[in-house]
Amino acid sequence: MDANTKTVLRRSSALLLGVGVVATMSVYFVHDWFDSQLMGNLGLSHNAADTVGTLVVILAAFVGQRLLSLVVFRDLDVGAIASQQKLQQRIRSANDAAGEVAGELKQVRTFNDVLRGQMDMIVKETEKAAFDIAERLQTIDQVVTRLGGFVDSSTQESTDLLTRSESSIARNRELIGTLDQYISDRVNAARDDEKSVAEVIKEVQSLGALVQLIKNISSQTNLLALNAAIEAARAGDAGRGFAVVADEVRKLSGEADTAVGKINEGMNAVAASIASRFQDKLAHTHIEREREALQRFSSQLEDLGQSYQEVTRHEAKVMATIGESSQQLAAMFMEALASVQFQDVTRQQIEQVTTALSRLDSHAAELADRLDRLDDPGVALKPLSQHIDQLYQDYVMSSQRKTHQASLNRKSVGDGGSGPKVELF
Amino acid sequence: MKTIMLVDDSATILLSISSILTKAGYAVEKAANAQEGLAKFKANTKVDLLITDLNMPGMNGIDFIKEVRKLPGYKFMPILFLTTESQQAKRVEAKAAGASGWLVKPATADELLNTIKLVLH
Repeated sequence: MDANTKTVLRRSSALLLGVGVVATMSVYFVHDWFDSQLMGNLGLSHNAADTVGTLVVILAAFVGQRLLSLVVFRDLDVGAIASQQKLQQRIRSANDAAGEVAGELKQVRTFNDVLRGQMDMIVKETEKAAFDIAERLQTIDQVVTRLGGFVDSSTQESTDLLTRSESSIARNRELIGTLDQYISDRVNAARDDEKSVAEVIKEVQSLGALVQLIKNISSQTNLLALNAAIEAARAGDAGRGFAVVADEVRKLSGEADTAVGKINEGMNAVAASIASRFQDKLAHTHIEREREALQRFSSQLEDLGQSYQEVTRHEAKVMATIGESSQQLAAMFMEALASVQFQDVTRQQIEQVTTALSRLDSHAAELADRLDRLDDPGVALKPLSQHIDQLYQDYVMSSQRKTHQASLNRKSVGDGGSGPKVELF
Repeated sequence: MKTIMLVDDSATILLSISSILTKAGYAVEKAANAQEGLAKFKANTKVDLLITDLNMPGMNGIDFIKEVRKLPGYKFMPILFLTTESQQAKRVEAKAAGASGWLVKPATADELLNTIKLVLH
């Protein structure tokens, strides 16, 4: 029952009650007078007078009701006529609106075609973009793989270099040891040479005593020869021959003395020459300088070797860091490739929306048909709730179901139970 | 080298997942739908593991693996589903059809490769 009908009923009831009360009171107070007047003046029987009275009361009540309605409600039928006119006007307006709505509902498919076209475009573009991303990631991976290969070979080379440098340094140390030993040997040999030379010089100098001895012998011989010459002169002719011999002996003595002096000079010259010649060779300062030079050389060689090892180790460290980064890049590349799956997820979500739009098309077409055939009770109309339920049944992922339930302010219990992300049967 | 057949109607999935598998040292056979995959199986392609999508146009993943299981030589081959669907009811259906495991998209590379290792070794 609509509001207008209720109003009409309420008004009618009130009016009926008022008219009824007036009619009842009229019958109560006027009945005897009316009866006596009609029966007395017109000669009607009691029954006939009541009948006429009843007709008069009904007629008066009817007219009174209409007049009262007109006065109170400005309508002869307690507002029902105006309400009916208003209702007819509304029905005409509703028919016009239904026609307009039906026309608009028929356009929903066109509108949805535009939306579907847009979504298809989004799917294609995201698919192309995701495909390009995957291809570029592949290219990056190829570069990273090449870099990894280079790092591996370089690391091997660094290791080899390090090994070689360590063995080279070991050889250098061995060589330095050999040189150091050589210097030590040389020092020892020089010391031995020094001793030998000193001994030679001492030996040579010791010959001076022998020379002095010969010189003394020569001097005594000369003295003997002189005595012999004196004795030979004293002997006269008998000693003449002996005097010749004594003279010869004295001459020999003189020559021997001269020879001894020359020998002594010669020996001194030899000793001086040996001392002079071996002076440089025996000087320790040369050997010390050599040793210092060798130590400096050894130290520099050691520093060089250590620097080279440090460089090689640093290179190996750099290569190891690059290698680790390369592996991390490879892992990141894999994860980046895996994340491209988002496009497939998005595509399927958009496809569901497209399917939902098709359902909306069908529903809009049914609504339009229903409006076009308002008077036909046989027009079938599938309720939107059924379309919503069917939409829920068609979902292909848990997130769609959750969103669906959240949009309808329902608890997310109708998912059928989601399992773990990874499951082995 | 183990061979994995990858069946998915998404070209992006085929490219990205096959790249991951190739990098991990597997040979990959690709098919864009169930019919194409079935044709490869019927041609006796050597496959050690099948990874398939569930929702594909034409034939869905469950019907597809039922057909594969009927073929000689593929009765005991492991089969993994890689799909956006996570419903328990679908998993039960897939298990009954002969599936060995289930991965929900988007799966990480680790999840994918670890699961493959488990079913292959």
